[in-house]
Amino acid sequence: MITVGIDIGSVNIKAVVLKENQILSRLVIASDNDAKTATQKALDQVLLMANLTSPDIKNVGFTASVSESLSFVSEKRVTHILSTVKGVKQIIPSAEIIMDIGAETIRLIKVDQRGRVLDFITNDKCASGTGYFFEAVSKILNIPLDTLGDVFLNASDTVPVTSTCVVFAESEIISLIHRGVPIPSIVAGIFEATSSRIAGMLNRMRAREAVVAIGGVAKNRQLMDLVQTRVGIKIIVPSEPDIISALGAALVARERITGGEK
Amino acid sequence: MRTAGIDIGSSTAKAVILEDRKILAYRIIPTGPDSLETAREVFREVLVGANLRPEDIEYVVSTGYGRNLVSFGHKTITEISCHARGAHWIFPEARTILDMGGQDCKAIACDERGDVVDFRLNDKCAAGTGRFLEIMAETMGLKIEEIGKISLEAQNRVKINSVCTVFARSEALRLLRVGLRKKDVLAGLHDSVCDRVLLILNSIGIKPDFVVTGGIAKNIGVIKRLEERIGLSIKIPDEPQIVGALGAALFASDILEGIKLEYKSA
Repeated sequence: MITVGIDIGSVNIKAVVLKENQILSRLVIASDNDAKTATQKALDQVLLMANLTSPDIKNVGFTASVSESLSFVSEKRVTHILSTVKGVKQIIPSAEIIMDIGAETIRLIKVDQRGRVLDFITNDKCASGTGYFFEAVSKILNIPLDTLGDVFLNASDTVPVTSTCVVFAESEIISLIHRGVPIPSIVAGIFEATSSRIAGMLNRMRAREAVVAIGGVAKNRQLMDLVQTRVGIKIIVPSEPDIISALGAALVARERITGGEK
Repeated sequence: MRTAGIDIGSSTAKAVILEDRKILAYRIIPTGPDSLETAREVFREVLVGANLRPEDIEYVVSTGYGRNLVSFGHKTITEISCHARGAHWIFPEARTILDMGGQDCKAIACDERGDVVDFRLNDKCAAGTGRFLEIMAETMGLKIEEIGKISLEAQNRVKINSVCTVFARSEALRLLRVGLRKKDVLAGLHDSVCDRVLLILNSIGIKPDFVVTGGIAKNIGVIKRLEERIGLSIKIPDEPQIVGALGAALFASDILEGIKLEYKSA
């Protein structure tokens, strides 16, 4: 049976085509301010990549970290928490804490062995530490987002960046550049601040083991390492951390046909 | 007796010169990357305005977030005290003072002598500060001076759900893209600023006279909404941005007179 999962994020749309337990194709495209058109595009493209057409698909599941993003989807909705848990448990069954850091939100979900949600904390009021924050930093420093981690490794020292707020951090970074502080030292300051914020959330969750990090920010290996050092717990990052919720949505879509869990 | 107060804020620097506690001149300039250079510049300009030389000023008090960098000042005093002092001097009945600046928002409770009794400060989050409104004005291609007035022309109620400035900006853009009008979206954004400010204000309690200072005091959209929501009329100084610098200059005068008194008694 073939199903599709689509995760409509605030910056990117992720799509996965699933056949039995195998991912046939996956795709990440920009939402481009028009999530509806982009979602259709993602669906068409991901099917094309798998050499399939709509009639081949038994069911689709749509999920989104911000529920308003689903406003144009009238049915086949999957809550983001469910798709996230399903996706993570599929790949890493031992996961106990799921840390999902996307463009606009940081979410921590504690689950038991069967995937039932035990606890949940979210930061969706503030952009600090989210993907958006790193994007803003990458723009100001004129460093590609995916090389920030390498720049961090080159830092000989750390200059504290004290602003929590993205808007204030931007001004602070500009004045640090103005004062002649080396860019890697500023990046190190940002990594220090954000890793401590994320570690703080993990501590609040009383995380002990089996932390799985997903979402776009989980691709920042150096940041994840820093968080790992701070909390003293291994943080597992799946190979494609940004498509996990889309995978979960495809799994839920399948269960809805086969009569498994809703 | 001539004294000066210099207030180095995050967005603007203000300087006031007093002669026997009367304002001789004041200046407001944007804060540059170098706070000391900004302080020198605003001081130079206010001296020109007062037609004085630096040596004519007997005592300089600096305040504001960059106060410690004003190396030519004689003393630094926190902006909380200076705002209370300045606001109380203009409005002797002032008991609650809200200072809404570029990057922070302060609610101050003071007693009948203008001494600070309690205060709350938000300097961690841009929501509810001048920066929030500045970003929204930029996003809409409007001037910061005009958005308050435009927000009052709204015909429909738009609710902005995001707190964070960057999320609120995306939300506003989304709303404009689906065809909502600028004035209606601006009304929602101004409501959101008031929500944030009221959180701080309510935590210290609001007593009349209620005085609002700082750059946002010039935004009629924020002021009208605050008045409506707390049911009190708001007192605003003629130049709300210089209240901190004025307070600093008044403290400078106090110090000078204190010194003179000491000499007398000695």
